[in-house]
Parts: sequence; structure tokens; C-alpha cells
Amino acid sequence: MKKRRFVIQGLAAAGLSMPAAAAPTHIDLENLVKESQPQGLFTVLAAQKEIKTAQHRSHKSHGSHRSSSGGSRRSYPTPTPTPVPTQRRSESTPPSSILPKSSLSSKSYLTPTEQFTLKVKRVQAGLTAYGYYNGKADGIVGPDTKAALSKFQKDYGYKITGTITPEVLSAFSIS
Amino acid sequence: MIELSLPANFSDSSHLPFIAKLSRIDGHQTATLVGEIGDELMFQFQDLTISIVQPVGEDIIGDIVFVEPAYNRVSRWIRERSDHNTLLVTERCDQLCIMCSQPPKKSHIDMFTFMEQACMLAPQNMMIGFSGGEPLLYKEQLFALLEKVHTVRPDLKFHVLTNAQHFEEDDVERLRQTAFKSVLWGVPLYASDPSTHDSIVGKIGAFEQLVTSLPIMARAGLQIELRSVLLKQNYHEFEQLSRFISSKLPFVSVWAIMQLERIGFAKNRWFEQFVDHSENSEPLMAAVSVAKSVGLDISLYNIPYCTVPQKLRGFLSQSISDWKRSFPADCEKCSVKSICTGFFEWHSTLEDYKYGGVI
Repeated sequence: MKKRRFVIQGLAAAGLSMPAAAAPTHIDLENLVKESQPQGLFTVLAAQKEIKTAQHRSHKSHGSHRSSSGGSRRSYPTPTPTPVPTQRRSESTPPSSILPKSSLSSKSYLTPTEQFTLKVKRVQAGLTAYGYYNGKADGIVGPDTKAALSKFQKDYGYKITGTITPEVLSAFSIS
Repeated sequence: MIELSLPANFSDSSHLPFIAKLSRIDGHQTATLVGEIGDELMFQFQDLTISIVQPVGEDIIGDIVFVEPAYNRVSRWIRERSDHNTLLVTERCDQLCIMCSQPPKKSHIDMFTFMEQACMLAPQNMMIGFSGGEPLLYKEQLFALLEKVHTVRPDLKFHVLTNAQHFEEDDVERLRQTAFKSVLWGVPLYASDPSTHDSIVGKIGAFEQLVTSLPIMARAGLQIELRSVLLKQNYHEFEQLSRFISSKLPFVSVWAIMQLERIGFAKNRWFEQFVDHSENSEPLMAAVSVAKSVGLDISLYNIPYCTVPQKLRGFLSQSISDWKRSFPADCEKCSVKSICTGFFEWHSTLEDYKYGGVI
């Protein structure tokens, strides 16, 4: 029993809680999908914790991908102007200490595709736990993940798209 | 206005540019839809994840796009549900038309490989335009592309907008091949008086070169669409132009007469160039009448329905490309809005026309 609990704690830590429609109180990996019982306190807490961290993450990058210039096909290619480095005295304040950190170096900032990849990993872990998927949780939706999504959506009465949809995300309490 | 260039985010911004078809199902060269969260669509192309915010009220699934991760950009080259897809061959030009809607640039980026791939993925029976600049500055590459695509996709049709000054006798044999039967060549001719035409296109000798090239095109059996823009500079000569085309260029398939587009060079020279055909429709009526009498097909482009006399309305065409078509608020009440070409997005008003209004 202790070992099984550990498994589930691991899932919760990975950002997984049970689908709301089928949240079991006691844990039985064999019957995870079939069980349909009221949500346990553990699951609720795990889900709430997850929502907090996820909201924090997405907040910072909100709308960031909309701000980039669309440019125009007609103006292709319009290279992003490279900033010309100014001559700086070596003892002056380093740029990194005053300039905003780039998206690549900042841990609190995730681009839309990075956010999505994380969500995909969680969905894949969830689909694995529920017996729909036995590939890697690599964050890439390939044919196997699409097939697993379609079957999961069918079984749970969701719209069958074979894609990550808001319904799928909320089923796994991923925000 | 339909957005043709969409901001996008990529899991790997160092990925080289490529052509893909946005699709729900896996297939040849597809970027497959893998996530749809609100208006944000996620696609997977091999190892690359792409995030695109879908423009409101539009469906981008099915589009053939040019993807540039380094520029955070996805360009909709061939939209599945549009009749107005045009590929830009080059921005170089050897003329400098006074009203050019897309002023030329000196630089050229060779996109033939990408254009060829895009054509190969195009929906069945589509007509795809090639424009510029002057596309025939890259005659060999363009001919080769048309030939190659035709062997694989004989269902496709093409429209090439060209000043036609680069056709030579040596091209005739090649152009007689079946690949070129799928092409309609749009050729601008602004006046039958050489000096008027040359001054409009900004090139001395242009008219002479053109009237040498047109018979070459005819001998090659090419389909020709002449294009003439209404301007203050040529409007008074329109009947004369019509007589010239009717008598000297009988091999022309269609004559497109078009109103000026208020963009590019015409934007700042509007009042020197724009001619209100509603105020004086005589030259237009006379030109149509002459051409009609010899059985030449005529289309009137970019001309709002209400601005021409009844007699001309049958020649109007819904020519303004869907992605730049717009109507001023007053037109909402109009009974013929659905058959009217409308206005250009950047100048959507009836104020230029003395006569016209809700029908």
C-alpha cells in the first residue's frame, strides 16, 4: 500500500491529478480508469497546488507571443535588427544586471511552445496512468499520443479530436 | 482584412524555413494539429512544435504556409478557401510605374524551391498567381517551375503578372508545350500612344518592346489578359486604346480595365492620378463599346457597382482580392453588396466618386 501511494504522489508531483469524472479515493492502478468515486482530499490538494504553480507560470508569459511583429510576406526577409553593441568600459555595470533577462535564461518565463510541451508531458503521463498510452512522456504529440487522446476522449464522452483540448486539460487538472 | 502573415512561436527558433500544409491529419509535408486551446493552435512538424494564434473568424487549417522560425512568423501562401492566392517571385522590377501598388526593391531572395513545394501541395484545380516586381526577370526559373509543377499537378492553373518585355523568339517553341496552356499572362498596357504608356511605366521604349513581345506570345499560343488602369494620364485616350487593342491585338483573350488602388506610389499622388469615372463615364463607355463590337471579352476590376452606368454593370468583376476587400458602413444597407467588388481595405470610401451610393 505504501508503495502504491508513492506512485501516486509521484504523479501528483508531476502535475497530475485524477480526472474529475473518475477520481478514486483509494488507489488501485489496475482500476484507475474504471473507478468513479468522489474526489479524495489528497487529490483535491494536489490539484490545487498544481493550479497555483501553473497559474504562476503562465501569468508571466501571458500574451507574449502576440506582440511579435507579423511582418509581411512582401517584406521578406525582414531580419530583426541586431543591436549594435556600444563601447563600454569593462568596469561599468554589466548589462545583465540592469537589462531584463532574455526568455531563454529566465526560469520563470516560458514561451507558448514550452508551456505546451509541459502540458503535453503531463497529459502523456496521465494517459499512461490510465492505460491509454505506453510511449515516452516526451512532450511531443505524435501518432501514438494522438491515438491515445482520441480513445480517451471517446471513453470519457469528450469531443474526439485527437488533440490536446481544454476538456483534456481539465480532465487531468492541468491549467 | 484577412491576415496573411501570422505571428508564431516555435520550440526551436533555429529551425530552417520550410513549407508545410496545416492539417488535422498526418500526411505528406503536413504540420499536424496537436492542440487547440481557445484561439491558440499547436502544430507538430517532425520535432518542431509551432504555436499560432488563429485570427478571429478565420480558419487556417488547410492553408499552405511558409514557416520561418527565425522570424517568429508563419505566412499563409496558399489559403485553401481563397481564389486570390498570389506568390511573390521577386521585388525587383525593370519598370517604375507611377502608380505602382508595390514599389520595387533592389534586393531579390530566390524562393523558387519553396514556391514549387507550395504549388505541389495546393488544393485541386486551384489557380495560383505569380507576381512581383517583374517575375520574368527570373524567366528561366519561372518557366522551369511551371513545367515541373505541371508534370505532377496538371490540374492547377496559373496567372502570371508580367510586363511581357522578356519574351523572345527563342522562347516560342518551349512555350508551345502543354505546360503553358495552364497559364494566363496578365500584361499591363496603359495607352496606344507610346509616349503616354512609357511615361506611365517610367521606361522609354517600353511600349515598343511590348508590341514586339505580344505577337511572340501570340505565336506561342499563350493566353493573354491585357490590363489597363484608369488614370488621369490616360483616361482621355481610352477609346483610342480600345481601338488599338481591337484592331492590332485580336489574339488577346480578355481585357481587364481597372480602377486605381490607393497604395504604394498612388497613395501620395492620388489627386494627380485618380480619375472619377462616375463623373465622366464617356471614355469608359466608348472603350467598352468599341471592344464589344469586335467581340473582345472585357472585365471591369476594382470598380464599385453603384459608380457605373447600368450599361457597364454586366462587365463588373469581383476582382478585389478577398484579403484586402472592405466595405464602408453605408454599404451594409445596399442590396447589391454581395455582387459588388467592394473597396480596398486601405481606402474604403465612396467619397472619391461623385455619383454612387446605396442601391
